[in-house]
Amino acid sequence: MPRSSHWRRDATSAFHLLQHELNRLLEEYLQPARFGGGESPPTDLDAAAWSPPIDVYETPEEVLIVAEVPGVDPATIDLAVTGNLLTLRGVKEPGNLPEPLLQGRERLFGAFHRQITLSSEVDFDQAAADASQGVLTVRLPKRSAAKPRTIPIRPG
Amino acid sequence: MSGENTRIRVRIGSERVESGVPNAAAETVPTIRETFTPPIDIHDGPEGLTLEADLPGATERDLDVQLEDNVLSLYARIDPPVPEGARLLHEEFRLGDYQRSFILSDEVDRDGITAELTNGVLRLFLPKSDRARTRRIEIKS
Repeated sequence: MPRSSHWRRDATSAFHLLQHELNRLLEEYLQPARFGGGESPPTDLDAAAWSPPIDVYETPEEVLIVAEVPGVDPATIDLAVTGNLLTLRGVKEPGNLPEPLLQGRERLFGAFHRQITLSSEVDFDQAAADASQGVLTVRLPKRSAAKPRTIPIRPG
Repeated sequence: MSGENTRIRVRIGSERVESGVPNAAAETVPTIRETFTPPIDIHDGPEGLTLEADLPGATERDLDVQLEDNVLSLYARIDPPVPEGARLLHEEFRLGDYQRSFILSDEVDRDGITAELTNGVLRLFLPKSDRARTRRIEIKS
């Protein structure tokens, strides 16, 4: 059934923005904090710039690094290894929409530079990276010595 | 409804999804999925509203956008990027789906809605219907 809309006809874009902001604040209040884990991503750059959040996982076979990089062109991401240090650099570019028309700006942009120190149990030469749908995944196979192995026990 | 070049399905009104067409939000999932509010930029231009949402991990197949009664809702179902059973060593973001709703103040020309998903960013254009546009009134002297 149609909502009463007498107020909507008078709505200016400022009102729409207020409504939008109230919705968003309420949603954030009701939802658990998404970014946390006790540690904010370290940034070498200014605090207001954006930096991709990173999760690190492991399986018996490999270590996986997952970075959220929405809006970053994968071709411009620079992923490199020096010793045990993995570095991730790139830029998240804003769109080309004209600034004066911006009613709500929540997304952050800018150049990023993350560094991750990994143990020598991974074989960096075998690293493989994939970036799709705004997610970068780096897979680092573990060296054979680091993989869990069972030791058979001979009956005595 | 949506343009020829749009592969993202934008549902208008309370239309039901035909069988065979994936609908991320209505699908029954065995586990409770955490949902988060994605950051969205809104540009309000004379032609219409453009929304840009950061939805890393979203795919066209699992993205559901609905416009009903001037309420725009979006839901993106996200598959985990790592195999099941992977052990988390360091966490800066949590895995989950994205959901957000808006009340739109202007009427939308539904035939002109476009949606595209590139590098995890959803860009949605909602053109204002003719009725909602500002019309210049000629002053004759």
